[in-house]
Amino acid sequence: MNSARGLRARFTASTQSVSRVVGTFAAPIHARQSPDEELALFDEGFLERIRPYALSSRRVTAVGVAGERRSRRKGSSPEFTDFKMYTPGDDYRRIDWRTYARFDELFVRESETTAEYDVHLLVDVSRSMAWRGLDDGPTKLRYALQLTGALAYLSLWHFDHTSVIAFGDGPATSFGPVQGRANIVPMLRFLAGIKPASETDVAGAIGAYVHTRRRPGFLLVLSDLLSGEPADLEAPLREARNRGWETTILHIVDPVEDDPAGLSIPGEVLELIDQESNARLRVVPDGAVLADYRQSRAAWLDEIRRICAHYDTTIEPVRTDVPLETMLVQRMTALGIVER
Amino acid sequence: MNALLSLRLLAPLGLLAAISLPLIILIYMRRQQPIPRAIPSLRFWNPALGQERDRSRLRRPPLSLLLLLELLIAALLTFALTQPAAEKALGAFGARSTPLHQIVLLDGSTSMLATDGTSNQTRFDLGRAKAQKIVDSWHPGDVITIVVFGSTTRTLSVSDAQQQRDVARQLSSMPTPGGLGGLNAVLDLARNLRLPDRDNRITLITDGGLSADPTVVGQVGMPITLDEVGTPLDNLAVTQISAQAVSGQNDTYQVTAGITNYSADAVAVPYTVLADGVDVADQQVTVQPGQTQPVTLRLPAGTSQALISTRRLDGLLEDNRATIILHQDARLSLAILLVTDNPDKLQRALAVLPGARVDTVPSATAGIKQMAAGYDLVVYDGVTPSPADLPAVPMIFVQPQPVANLFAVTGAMPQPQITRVHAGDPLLADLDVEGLTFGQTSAYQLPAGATEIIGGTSGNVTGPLLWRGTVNGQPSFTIAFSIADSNIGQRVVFPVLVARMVDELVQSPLPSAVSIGEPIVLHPPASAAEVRISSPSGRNTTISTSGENQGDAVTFAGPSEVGIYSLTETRGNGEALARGQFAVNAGNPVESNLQPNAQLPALLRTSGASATQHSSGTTSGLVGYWPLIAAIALGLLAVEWIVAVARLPRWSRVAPERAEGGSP
Repeated sequence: MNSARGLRARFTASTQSVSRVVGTFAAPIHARQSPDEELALFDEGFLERIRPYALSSRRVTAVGVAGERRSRRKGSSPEFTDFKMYTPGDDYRRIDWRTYARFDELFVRESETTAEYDVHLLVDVSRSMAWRGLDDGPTKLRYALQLTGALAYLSLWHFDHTSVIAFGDGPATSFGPVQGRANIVPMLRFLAGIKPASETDVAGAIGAYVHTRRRPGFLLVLSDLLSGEPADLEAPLREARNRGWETTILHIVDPVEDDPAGLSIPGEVLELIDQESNARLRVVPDGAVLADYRQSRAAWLDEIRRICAHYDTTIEPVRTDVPLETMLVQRMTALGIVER
Repeated sequence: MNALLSLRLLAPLGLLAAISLPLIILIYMRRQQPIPRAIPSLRFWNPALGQERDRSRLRRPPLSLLLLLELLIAALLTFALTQPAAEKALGAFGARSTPLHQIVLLDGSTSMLATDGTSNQTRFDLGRAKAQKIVDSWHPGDVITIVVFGSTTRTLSVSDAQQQRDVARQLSSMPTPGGLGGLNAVLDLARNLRLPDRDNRITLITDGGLSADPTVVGQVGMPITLDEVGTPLDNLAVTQISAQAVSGQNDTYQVTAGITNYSADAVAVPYTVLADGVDVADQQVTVQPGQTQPVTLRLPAGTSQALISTRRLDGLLEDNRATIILHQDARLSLAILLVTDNPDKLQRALAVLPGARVDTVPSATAGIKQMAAGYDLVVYDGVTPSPADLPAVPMIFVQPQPVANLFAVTGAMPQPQITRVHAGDPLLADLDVEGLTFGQTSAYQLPAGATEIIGGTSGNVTGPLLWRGTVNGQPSFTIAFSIADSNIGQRVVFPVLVARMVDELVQSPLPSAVSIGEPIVLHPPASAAEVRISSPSGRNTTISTSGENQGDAVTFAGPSEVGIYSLTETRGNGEALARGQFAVNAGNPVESNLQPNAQLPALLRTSGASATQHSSGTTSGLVGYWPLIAAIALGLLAVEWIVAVARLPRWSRVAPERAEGGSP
């Protein structure tokens, strides 16, 4: 714990750096801005408010000794937790002689040890993510980057091993793995510098990442899942489960994607342009067309959910019209991804 | 429902706006260019559904709420533009009434010049304000007719907003007409102004000093509301003034004035008389109530105008004095053309006429007809032109020559004796024609329509010696005998007879004194191009007498100021032909009585219709609904806007290239 306090003291300066960086980009999260101006992901107050929260994993075992996670292992740190009867093999240096004097039996002092998570945040930066259905709402990419930044912030603040990977059409760009609060500012700068790519392969990106990691961890995938087919997810999710990863997919959804009724004035002829492929389709979005859209989308989502359930993968829709703080504090807490 | 059925469209041209309805539908039928929308993926859009297959320019109009709202708004606005109005109110909107024709009879007689109490406003000012209030309360569909009556009558009508403004402006600047308020005539006029299908009402605004024939009132057939202004006032007035020459002294006049007391008590009235501005009398006379006391005074010789005034303050100051013009400073023009080869006594008799200018030309002069156009009178002595050469001015013929269809001679009278005298003819009034002798005289056949004044007989032959007739449509006198062969030239009767003939043929131009508001008929000479009249306050009135009016009588309607008016007749080049004056007095036996007629209210109630008391001088007519309809339309417009905005997709309309993170 001393080491933890030491780290905290050591990185007080770095939090101030965060303030400076965030303050420089201070702006309301949902304020409508031009893409060039949308560098600031958070305001300072937001980070302060979420600071008491930390990432939580149901299955991933904390590793290492630098984190703040309470480990099931007992160690020799000054943080006393319990006594146990001495048994051969115990470190005789941990025998408590005062207890021996009182009870005439040998007891060994047990101490608490801490560990950290391996947190992996995979962000889809395809062009379909760089889209918003409402003029006054954020793009899916921006929302995903904000959520990624918040989660990574919590992770780094609590001294977890953190990796942020932006995957698009080319080689993924990554930040980390890093640990410690000194990496918060570089992490935020990394996120702010992310530009949308053209196309992507979500399943391939997950598979490649899981396959190349030596140690399983806590994998959070933020994507609209609009690339490939649902069945493509089976293989990477199976491998992740088999290799001990705890995988959660945060499905970034724009409200207009859920209900495209407001897409046009009734009777208006639209030429729909695919954001990624640039394919075009001229339609009159009347009631039958919209009903078919909803049915098709529902079937697609059901298939994805089925696959995720089959491979012990949590999938949670994240709508961009939900305020980020609400999403993080309430929804993520309810899901068990974040705890106070 | 009845109110709806009685709706009238005051501006039917507003229906032209209905063309907006098909235009709106046409706009909706127009097939629009597809609007590009960037979306994240086409994955969920079924290409088989919703494809725009019909590529024609027009499509069936979509039955949308927006279209219906816009059509409804356009229809309502079109309806509002037609200015619908109903005789009866719909529900609680407006007051129930029928179209009204409000006839306002505004008394403009002399008595309305009186000032009551401490207010500086005359009764006419107060009455005008009441009429103005009625005009201000005009409603669409109503008609208001304002009749301002005195000696002259002026009618103003309001049936639209523009006329409302015009009449209000005219009323505010209208002087008091003055003169006698003839209620009978104005009620008869109001009866003729009655409009069908309207609630005709009469409001009489007066000081109450009017009287009317009950028969006339009973024939009006409309309710009459009496709206009185002013309060009963005592008054003293100079109600009469006249002058006559003192016998044997042509330039000396005796002026007689009547001072009337319109109060309940006898009043000692001091008065003064000014002769040409010089005080010649300062006396006092006692006038019994309701009586007129005459005062007479001989004026100094040569006095041209006299003014008598009482020195007493009362309700109507204007009638406390009266002026009379005795001599004009200069006689109005009298141009006479004498066509004769023997100018002698006749020329002298004409030349001595006041203001006369006599031009004598021989009978052989060419172009006499054209020359005569510039004269007031042409005298032919022993000469008779052919009918085609007769001028269009009054004429006197002396011993005319026989001319077909003009002068027919039936014989000769060697020495005719006067055997017939039309003694009642004003031409011979106070004249003695006995003893006149005549030379050889033709026996003329009296023309049709002519009147013999003097007739003679010689033997068995008889014929007219002097007659009045019409030649070439102009009044004329004909003297059948030769003046040179008669002894009439040596008798005093001759210049008087000539002067009277000229006076009759050429009308006397100006009266010596008139009452305020009394029209003056003028007879400017044919050579006059215009007559300019200046009021005592200096206001000028110009009456053109050229063109079609040349030679005709003209009327100066309604002198409205008390005092001396001056008149100038001018030629077309501005040269003054003559000048004259006339006096306008306010005193009148009827109008100077400032007591109301107590019988008038009861008399007006017999107007042949139930005299519903009209409320506070306002009108109520058609109820206009266009503001209500326009308000509904605007409300719907707001709803339409809200619906349109609500249905506008909040979806970003930016093309994919411009979306965030799009390719640069």
